[in-house]
Order: sequence, then C-alpha cells, then structure tokens
Amino acid sequence: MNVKCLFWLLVLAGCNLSTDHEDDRPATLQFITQAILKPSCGTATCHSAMKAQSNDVFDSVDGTRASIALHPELVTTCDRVIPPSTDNCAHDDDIQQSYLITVITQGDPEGDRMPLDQALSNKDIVLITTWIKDGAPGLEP
Amino acid sequence: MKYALLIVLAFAGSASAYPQFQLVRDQTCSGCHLSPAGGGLLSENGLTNAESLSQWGTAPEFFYRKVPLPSWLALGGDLRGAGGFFVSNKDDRAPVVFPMQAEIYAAATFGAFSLHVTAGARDPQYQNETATLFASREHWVQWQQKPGEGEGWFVRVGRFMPVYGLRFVEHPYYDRRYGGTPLYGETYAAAVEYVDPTWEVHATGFIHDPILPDSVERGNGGTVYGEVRVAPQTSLGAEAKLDITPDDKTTYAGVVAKQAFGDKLLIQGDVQFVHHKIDAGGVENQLVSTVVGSYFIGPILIDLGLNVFHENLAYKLLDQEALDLNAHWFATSHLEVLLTNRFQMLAFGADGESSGYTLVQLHYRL
Repeated sequence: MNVKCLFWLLVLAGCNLSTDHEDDRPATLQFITQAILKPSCGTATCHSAMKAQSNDVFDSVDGTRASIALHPELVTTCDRVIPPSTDNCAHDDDIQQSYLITVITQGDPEGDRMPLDQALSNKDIVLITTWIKDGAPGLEP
Repeated sequence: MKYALLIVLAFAGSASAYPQFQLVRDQTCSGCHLSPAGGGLLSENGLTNAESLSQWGTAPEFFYRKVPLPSWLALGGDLRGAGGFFVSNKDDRAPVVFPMQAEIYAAATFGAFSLHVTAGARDPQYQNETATLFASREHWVQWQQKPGEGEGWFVRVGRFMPVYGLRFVEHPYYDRRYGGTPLYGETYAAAVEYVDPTWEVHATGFIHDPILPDSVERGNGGTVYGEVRVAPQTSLGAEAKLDITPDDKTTYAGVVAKQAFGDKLLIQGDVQFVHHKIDAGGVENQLVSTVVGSYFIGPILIDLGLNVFHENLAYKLLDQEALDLNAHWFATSHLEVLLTNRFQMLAFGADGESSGYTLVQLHYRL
C-alpha cells in the first residue's frame, strides 16, 4: 500500500462506519458516567476531579454519585420533588425538573448550554432522559 | 456566558511538542528537545531552528542569553494566553479572554543522568484555588545512553505524559482528547525508550497519581509507541495503550503515518480503535481519527486538521467531527502569534447544533 492510500484511509476513517439499530445501551449511572459524562463533561478544565467546576465531578462513577448527592436537583423528576409540587408537573415534561436535562438541552440560568464546547448527541440525551425517568438507578454504590 | 467561559477555558493549554516540524526540520522530536518525547526545553539544535524559522530571529536562548547559566543547567518556560470569539450554539456566542499557560522548565544534567522539572500555574480546583493554583506537572529523572545527543537509549522515571499518538500542543485535537493523551494527562510513570533517525520506540508503564489523587489520569496501565522512518520523509508507526481504572478498562490500538513533501509540507495522521469496557455493564467500540496537514510559508505555519470521533460504532449519529484551521506566525525566536479556528459538528451536521471558535493566542517562550 503506498503512502497516499494510507492517508486516504486515515481520512476515510471519519466516514460513517456505524450500523443502526435500536439503542440498547444500559441506562445506568455507571454507563452514562463512563460513556457520556466523563468524555463530554468530565474534561480536565471542567467537571474533572481536578477542576470540580461548581463542585460537580463527572469523570468517575464515585464523582457522579457525590455530585448528585450534593446537587439532587440534577436528577429530580416531579414524583421526587420534595416537598411535592404540581407547579411544573401539570404537563408532560416532568423530566424538565431535572437540572441535568435542563442544562444539556436548554442551558443554565445564564443561558449556557452544556457542554459548552459541543452539544451532546440526541441519542445520548435520550439515554440520560431514560435513566432519570427510570429513577436514576445506580446512585447507591 | 462570558464569565463561565473564562472559568472553563482558563489554563486550558499546556505545551507539548510541535510535531509539524518532524521530517521537515529534523527526523525526531529529540533532535530539537531535551526530552525523548519532545516538548519543553529545546536542545541546541532546537534553539537554532527556532531562530532560523522566525521572522526576526533574536537570540533564542533563555532570556536572550542575558542570564548566564552553568553548563549543567538549562532553563526555559512558556507563557500563553488567548482571546477571541466562542460559539457554543447558534444562540449562544461570546467574546472570551483567558490565560492558558505559565510554566517554568528546568533540566540539570550530570553525565548520563538528568533531572527535569516543569512547574507553574495550573487550572485550580473550584473553591480551592489558593491551594491548587501551583503544581509541578512534570518531574522526572532521566538516564540516556549518549549524553548530549538526541538519540540512543533513554530511561525515564517520574511524572510525565506517556508517549502516545501525534502529541500536538493543540489538546482539543481528538487524538489527544479522546485518544489517550488528554490535557493534564501526566502521571507517574517509568519509560524505556530508544530514538534513532531511522526508528524509535517508547514503552511506558504508568499508575494513577498517588500524591494528587484528583489528577486527570485515573488508571494504571501502559503504552507502547513505535515509529519507523521507511524513507527520509516517510514515517509509519503503531501504538497501543491499556488503561484500567476502578470503573472501566480501555484498550487503544492505532496506526500513525507521516509524510513530508520537501521542506514545506507535512501530512500526518493517527487512527485509533478504542475498546471501552465498563465494569458495571456495557461495551463501546470507538474510532478516533486526526489528520493534519502543515504547510510552511517562511515564518508562518498553516495547519489544517480533520478530527473524527465515533463514540460507539454500533449506532449511527454518535459521531462528531471537527475541522481546525490554525496559522502560526513565529515573529521572533521567542514570540509566536497563533490564529486558531475550529468548526465542530455532530454527525456531520445531521444531529444537534454545531459549535466553534476563533481565537488569537500569544505564546512567549522564555
């Protein structure tokens, strides 16, 4: 193989090699942390243990657990609002009670959608939504 | 928005090497650097290259040779800052200004042994800024077979980044961010390395930092990187990395290719296959690719980079792409002005909003 072919292969590596079937990835805290939050949110200068921006750490399973323990609103849904509230739960988007969903889809109160440098893919957002709707399993070690 | 970005991007840069120079200026990284991995302090040949490449020259040594140093001591440093415009999505754009790097390098050499230290400001921990602002990112003891030369056998023990991938200074390149050498990825390691104009190999074992448990590298593992110059301007390489954390096990394997055309153009690429096994359940097979073309026009260096990352090859619409266009102007042997631009997409624009930035970066080498 000559060098030109090799370089074209390198470029073509970016082409779509994936298959397409139903998203059966595990909607668990461990998977979501390691597959989505760590590479997208837990980078060195953001929510790594080293930086711990806003005291949220997403580069390890223990870090995510501790962050949710500190900020339970990250995964709150209507049926888990304490005290119970119906203000924002009269419609179908009870998942919007979750601050995590809010910041990755709309943005924080200052309008910053997270991650700042690149939005999450819709598939990843749906998987996080499913996890939170399921009660955010995995919060206990 | 502005303030958030100031926080997030502060100190978002640390120097690595300029692999754009390999094959068009010298065959190896250690031809211009004291470290066999490249980056950091320049050797005599590296200083000469810095002077000859730049627009206006100037004495390339530490503080323009105004500070006399004993022959066993080398000092240097890098200061970087940037400002520009950041587009997070179509409704969210803001001007930004932020510091990137302020570090001092020192190397003390006694025969075949040398001590290397990189220390300075790092991105401090939130609400713990005073205690965490200063750190030593790198410090290692080095033995080399041929003191004063950039080739032969090297043994290093200490804290440094394992040799892996293309090792661009631009840490947002995907082969660094997703490919095993992320920003602040240095940790304690031991390496055995051989560098020669015709081939090189680097084998490194590393552990999670026992002194700074909050460090970015969370695992124990090892890397192997080898490169063969099959022709004077052609280099082919292979690489592997294993990284085991308490949560997962990640195996990387990749190929690297570099082709120079005369002394003006270099094209280099790194493609990695990543197998990511999460202990609690779930497996991802990923693809990471970075291809960069670099063209020299006198004291100006233009880089055009294409980055692709497939988060999980089993599913469509989980890929992201980034196009980088950077222009470096080496004004003097110490001063570099860099215009850096990125356009980033999800699934080539088919999924979610694109983003990007345009930044002017000032880099002063002490």
